[in-house]
Amino acid sequence: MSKRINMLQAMLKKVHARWLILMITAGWIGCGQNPTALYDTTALSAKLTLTDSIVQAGQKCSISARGAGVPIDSNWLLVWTGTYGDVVFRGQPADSLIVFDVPVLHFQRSGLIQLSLTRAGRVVDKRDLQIVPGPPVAVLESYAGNKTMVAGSRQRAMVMAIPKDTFENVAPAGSSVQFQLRYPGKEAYLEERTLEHLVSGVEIPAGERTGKIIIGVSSERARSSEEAVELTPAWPTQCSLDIDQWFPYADSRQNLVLRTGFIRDAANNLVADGTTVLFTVYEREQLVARYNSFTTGGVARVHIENPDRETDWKIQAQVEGQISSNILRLHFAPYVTELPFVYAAKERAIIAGPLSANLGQLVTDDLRVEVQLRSPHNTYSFSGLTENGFCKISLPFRLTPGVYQCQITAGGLVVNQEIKLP
Amino acid sequence: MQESHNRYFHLALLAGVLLHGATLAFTFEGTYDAFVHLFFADHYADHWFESWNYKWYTGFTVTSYPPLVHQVIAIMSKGIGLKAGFLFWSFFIILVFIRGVYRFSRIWVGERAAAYAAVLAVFSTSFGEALHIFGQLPSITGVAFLLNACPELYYWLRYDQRYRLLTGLCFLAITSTAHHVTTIFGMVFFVLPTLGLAVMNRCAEKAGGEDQIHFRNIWKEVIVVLPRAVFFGFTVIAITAIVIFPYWWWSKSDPITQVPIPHGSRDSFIDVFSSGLVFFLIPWGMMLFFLPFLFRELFRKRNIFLGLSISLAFLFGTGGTTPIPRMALGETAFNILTLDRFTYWASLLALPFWGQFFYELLQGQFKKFLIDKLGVRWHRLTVALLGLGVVVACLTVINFQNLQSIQPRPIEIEPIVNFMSRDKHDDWRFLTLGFGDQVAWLSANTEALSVDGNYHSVRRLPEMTSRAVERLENAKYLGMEGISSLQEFLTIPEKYNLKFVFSNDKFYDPLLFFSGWRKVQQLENNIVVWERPDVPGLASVLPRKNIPDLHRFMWGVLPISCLLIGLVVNLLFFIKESALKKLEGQRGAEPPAHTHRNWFWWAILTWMVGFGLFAGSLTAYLLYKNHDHASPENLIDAYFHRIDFKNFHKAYTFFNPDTRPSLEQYMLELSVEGGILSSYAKLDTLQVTLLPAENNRQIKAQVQARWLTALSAYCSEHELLLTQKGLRWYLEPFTLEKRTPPDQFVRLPNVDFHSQGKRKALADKVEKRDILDRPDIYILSASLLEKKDSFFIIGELLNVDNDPSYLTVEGVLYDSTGAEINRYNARDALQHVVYPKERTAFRIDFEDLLPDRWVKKFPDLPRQRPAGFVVYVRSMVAADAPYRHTGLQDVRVDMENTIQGTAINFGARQIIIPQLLAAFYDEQQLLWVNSRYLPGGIRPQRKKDFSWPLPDLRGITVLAEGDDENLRINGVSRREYRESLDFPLGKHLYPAAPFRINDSLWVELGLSAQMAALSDE
Repeated sequence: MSKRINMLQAMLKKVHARWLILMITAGWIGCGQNPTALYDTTALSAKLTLTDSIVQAGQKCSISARGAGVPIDSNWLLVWTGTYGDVVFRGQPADSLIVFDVPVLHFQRSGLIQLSLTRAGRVVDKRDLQIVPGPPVAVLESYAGNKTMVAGSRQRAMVMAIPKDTFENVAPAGSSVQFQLRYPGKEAYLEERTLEHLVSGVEIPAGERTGKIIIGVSSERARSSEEAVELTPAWPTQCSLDIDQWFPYADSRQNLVLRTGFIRDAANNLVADGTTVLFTVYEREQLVARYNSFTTGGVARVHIENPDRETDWKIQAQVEGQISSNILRLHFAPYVTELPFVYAAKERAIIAGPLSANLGQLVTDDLRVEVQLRSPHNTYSFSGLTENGFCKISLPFRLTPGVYQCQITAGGLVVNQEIKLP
Repeated sequence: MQESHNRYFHLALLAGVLLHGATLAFTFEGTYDAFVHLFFADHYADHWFESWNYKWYTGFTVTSYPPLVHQVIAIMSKGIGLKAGFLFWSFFIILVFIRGVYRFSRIWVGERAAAYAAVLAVFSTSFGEALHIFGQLPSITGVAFLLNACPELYYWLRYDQRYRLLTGLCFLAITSTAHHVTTIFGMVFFVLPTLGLAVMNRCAEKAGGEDQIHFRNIWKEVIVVLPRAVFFGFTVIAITAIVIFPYWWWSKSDPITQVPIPHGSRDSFIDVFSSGLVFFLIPWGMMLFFLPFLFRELFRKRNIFLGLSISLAFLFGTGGTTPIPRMALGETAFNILTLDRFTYWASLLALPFWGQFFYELLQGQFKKFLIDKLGVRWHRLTVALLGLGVVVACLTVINFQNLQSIQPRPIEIEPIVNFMSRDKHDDWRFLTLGFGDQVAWLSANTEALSVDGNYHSVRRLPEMTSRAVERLENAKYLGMEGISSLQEFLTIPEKYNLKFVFSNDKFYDPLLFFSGWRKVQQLENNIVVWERPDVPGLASVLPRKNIPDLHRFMWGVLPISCLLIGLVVNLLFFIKESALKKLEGQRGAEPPAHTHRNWFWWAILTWMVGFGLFAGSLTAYLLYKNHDHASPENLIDAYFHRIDFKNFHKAYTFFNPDTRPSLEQYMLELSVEGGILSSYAKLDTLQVTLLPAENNRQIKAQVQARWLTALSAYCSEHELLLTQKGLRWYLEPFTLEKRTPPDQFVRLPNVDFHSQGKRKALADKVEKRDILDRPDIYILSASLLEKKDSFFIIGELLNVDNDPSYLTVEGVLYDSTGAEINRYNARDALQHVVYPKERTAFRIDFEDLLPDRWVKKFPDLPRQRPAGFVVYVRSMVAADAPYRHTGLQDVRVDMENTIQGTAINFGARQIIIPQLLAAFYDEQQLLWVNSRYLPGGIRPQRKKDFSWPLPDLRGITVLAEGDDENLRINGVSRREYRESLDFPLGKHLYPAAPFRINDSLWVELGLSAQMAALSDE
């Protein structure tokens, strides 16, 4: 150490500040040493005195020290060792006592406090002080999870509660905590638990009916905020399919409107809104169309466009997990009854029309008319839409001149004719 | 006489400040670089000695750019703000520049010519372009001080005035701290010719005149001045090295190793006319009319060094027009340097002779020649035309932004700043799209960090440096490479803590939608905010690269000290110089006058007239050639470009006036044509094939248009008929979709979802009650595939929950030793939001990420081959409900192996971009997953036919199958999931409902309508 002092002094000599050197050196030495004892502390004998060794959080007790022949001055220190570390209080002489005035703030945290009476760096006496929590009065801290459970499943949720006193101290172990639960459509019931390891909790089994389980927790005067766990429907188990609207002609225009019956789970709960339902359409055992839809209020609806040819359809609704509806078998009759057409060489187009429908009327606008041109080497396909009963299909420039077999199809009716392209 | 010259010089100073000062306030915000420099200035204003900036590219070192201009603006910003600081420094630099031109010209040409040069410098198009279009204030600052340094060094070497070395070095130090490149190249192009002139003049003085100089005289003089020149050289190197030492240290320790960014200055100006215009014609401007005069003057003995310098710079400035710059500079330097700066320097170096030319025209031999040979009127006409040309050219450059838009519309940034600063949004990074250079101004005004940036030299993320993509925000202008780079960032945003995108360009909407981003809101400045769910926030402590404290100290102190010391020293010696000026005049600062013969002026006049006629004829020819109605190709090109830029009124005028529908009908028909091509695509190329028609006044055209979208490139085919009327060609109108749905009014039930987020408006925390459970997802299958040397993970997922779920599907590849090779997310081959009990296929592509491309580049590199994989699925409760009223009908495969079918929208919303998602199966398992976007939108209650060529499914090898352990959902294995959840188990319970393609192949085809709205957006 003296070497360090010498080094420091040698360094500071350069600035010719002897007074500064002395002050710093003295202070530096002093920092590492114990204060000079005025008395022989080994011979001192003093006792700490508490008015209560167990106090409730927020209640103060007086702390003092006394001893025979001990100096009554302010060099006595009280070291307060709690959960959050050490705090030191200086004693004040009062008559023959040394009184330690600990602010009430330090009595608000529950726990075991170790009090040490010290003087001149030596512990003279020790005492324990226990601060116990007050009655639960504040907002009770609660946690609920999962937030959702599948109705009727093995899933479990849990509500945990931590009752606290005014000063945010957790209530004492063994405190009673009441959990009141109300399942959907049922009366509320009470479950009582005691506080262990600072928490109390209750397991919540999944009920049969969908809806919210509302949970309230209380402990003496403490109350939790309202907690909720939602019971959602289980996997659907049944599905049926009905027709809402049907125009049984292959007009490739009108919509076949279908809807499922109420889709429910095993406990008869309606499935959740948005549950996906797939509508599949089979023609000669081949899938030809699939439509997505979803449930609202347990029912899914779909609009399927009529076919453009005479055919038989088998339609089914499905939910994943092989939940299938009954099969609807529908026959679509030809829509178009007359389909005349000509090749207009000047316009290089096939003009079909007027197209008549099954009720003697002109076909509706936008009916698809398909043309297939076959030459010995190639086959070309084109299509157009009707407007006011006619359809003009321009032929592209890439077609080479020659004779073509022309097949024209609209609304389930097929007509063949030979045309010559110049 | 001297006073008269000074009058011109002072007039130039006044004109410079008035012209540029009055206009710069309106132009600088639209320049390319001004905001970048303001961003740097903001950095120094906030943290003067801080070397690291977190705001761009996950952080970069600011010692990567000389700081003087930024620091000066930063100081001024404390009093007047950043923008005003920029303007005031610009005004000062304009004065310094004009003084520099005047002083620099004084050593090359006569007093009067130098005064003219100063006036002409005000109207210099290259200076105007650098200031009003490029906004390169540091570069202008550098060259302004460099021009001032040159005459000091000249007088030092010519007249042995030692103090001039000090003043010159001070100016050079300022130049280095403002723009180091100007110092480096300026030594070659500016200082060496100046010193050469000093040597030549010393020789001339000793030899008794310029004509008496021979090579041996020069050699002797060089030997005399060599020690001084060497001393000067080392001093300059030392000064440049010291004053911005942290920059050199940075460039050495962190060298730029990125793919070169394409720049128009490297184009062939003949092939790319726009580049030639911006990087050659505009900078040279009216000076092109005096090139013969310039080169005649330059290749005198006295000016030979400057002649070589200007010639070299002129040549380099032609970019890729000739192979010479590439050969001379070398491949690396050619691809790194922006060559327009050579033209910029050459045009500034030519200014003294431009002044000399005007001197000859107004007072000298050219005037006498014109009056003698052609008369006073022709002289006046020549003066008027040239003078008018100079002024008009300058005003055109200043006004360039109004003639040709170079930036997106000005964006009010306050709403974005407010958005990022509320509700802890700045805990994540953001990205801007379609902001142009205004992104720098936004960054200067917000504390939030961006994953992108506007200074590409400091990018270090491999995803950026491995591609020739300058910025993500303008990806659409960089072709598929730009789009690919952006796609990568948007697909794996969690890697960069990227949560918010501010879009000023709906072009990017499809990519954002289908990459799983959610449109949050439209701010009051019309910027659309996009959000990506399930992205972790930034760590509280971010990595940074530290530089030594000494460097930071030097960076903060030396540049600004250089400026202050340099200005003070020069001011002091300027006073001294004034006293010596008379003495200098006696020493013969005036260069010798040369007498030109008449043939020379005839040649000059012929060049001017010839060049004028050539330029005029070329312009007229180009105007005719590019007229929209001049040819069928022009007409088709013009029509598609008008459609591309949504200029429908103009596009309508291209139709035959005799046969076209009314404008209202045309606009109405166009308005119902939604979809990715009509609303979100940019025309890339057009291929036109003309065919004869029956009528000889008509022609048929088959057009193949290639469109670039944010998702992929599309080709569309069109057959058009064109009619010629007189000299003009017109399009014959073609019919657009006219299908009408069967019902006028439909009733449909719908479902809506809403996630509240924070139910209580608390700024600092999310309440535990507001945190929802992650929905339960089950991975039905997954497998690792190899296809054509690329690797993929494909599979199927099922939402077994009762809530709609937002999905992030991440795949990780491992090699045979268990070491991770790479990880990536499923981008658009997936439905990101699935309804309860809905299934989706997914595909994760690793084709661009595996080291294959490096293997091709470096065949010796060992290839990492994946042997195993893990799929991580993360789910969140979806905050919104995607559209689901869709169907597919008449799906079949034609003889050309194309899947044909009809996509149907039976709901009440418009499907803006329909996406087909296909899962191909053989009899046993899933083979391949693919997606395709239909080019047109589908309106409510309507349908659209589609055709999709079957993908090539040959050569697919299954490398590994997913099992219960390597398929993980929300952090737990599939096994645990299955054991803890109640839902029907067994693969047979989830059969696909596929369309049959052939005996051994089926496809489960789904129409995803993630991008749908009540009206076409």
